[in-house]
Amino acid sequence: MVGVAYRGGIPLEDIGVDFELEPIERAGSIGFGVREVVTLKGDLTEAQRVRLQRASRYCPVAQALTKGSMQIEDEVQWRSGEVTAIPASSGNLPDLEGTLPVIQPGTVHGSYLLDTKEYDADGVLEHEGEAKIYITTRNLTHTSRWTVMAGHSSPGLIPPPFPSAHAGWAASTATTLTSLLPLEDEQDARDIQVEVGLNMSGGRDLSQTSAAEGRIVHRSAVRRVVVPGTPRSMPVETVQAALQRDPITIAYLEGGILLDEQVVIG
Amino acid sequence: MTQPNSPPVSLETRRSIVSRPVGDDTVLTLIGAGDNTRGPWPFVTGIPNLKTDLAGPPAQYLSVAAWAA
Repeated sequence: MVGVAYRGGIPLEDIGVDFELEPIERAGSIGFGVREVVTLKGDLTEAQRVRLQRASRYCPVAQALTKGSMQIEDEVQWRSGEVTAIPASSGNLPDLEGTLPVIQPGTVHGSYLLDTKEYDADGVLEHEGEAKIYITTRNLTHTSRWTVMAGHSSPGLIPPPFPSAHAGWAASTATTLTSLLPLEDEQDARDIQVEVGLNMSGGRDLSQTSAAEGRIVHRSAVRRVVVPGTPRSMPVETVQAALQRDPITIAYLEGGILLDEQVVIG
Repeated sequence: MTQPNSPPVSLETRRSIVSRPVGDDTVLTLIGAGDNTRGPWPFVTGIPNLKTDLAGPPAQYLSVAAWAA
């Protein structure tokens, strides 16, 4: 949104965002939904507010999580060495006995760090800057809070948002496989690995242009899952059945996790 | 309006994120594995369970945090 505001000459002075996460029932899986409130600061016209709201809806991560815009190419590799592509179609997949962990309700609060904007020698905005994000959710014995940094800075300083979202996807996939695959022992769980390859083509220009215009961009990713055993002991259909129940995978393919959205001038 | 599909992911980018379980209730994820210009950045996420407190937020929260950024 900062980049869209800069390009459009919108006097956006500051921005904050709050999400509430809650578990929701989804067929065959345990899903989650989010309620979003974006707070904008600045002397904005209604047209500018609407433009920024559209940018919020169509930023790459929002598209991936809410528009069903991701194209996923899955592969499985067994520890025995064999590799095969996982077909996109469902077919008759086995029922899995494991259960997914319940997604506890919680909040995510993002604060934009104004002084992390970076300009080039001509005064042109080069990197939009960073955000500090607080994650708060219920734990077993108490409520915990964690801090995450992400954004657009000089290469190497902090992770950009889109790879960070895919890190969540990879972690979610690892959690799902650990929970659902028929594992023999702890070593089997340690054998699980998820690898994600991203297509970053288009970069910032495509992201900001499509966000400003409200245009969906179908981005692709390769996900390779490494599982214990052999194709005989851990059939590809079992792995496929587990992947189809992963909450972030469902969001990537079907969207629909945004339950409510508000953009307010603070 | 829909943009045509983006090009396929190349082999060079295939392993840009790697995630592995560590114990029963924790997952370690590395962004930019093997890429010194874009990372590496580690993230710890937790698997909700009835035995231990979480070492990190559940994975879904990490994706929403990226959305917030």
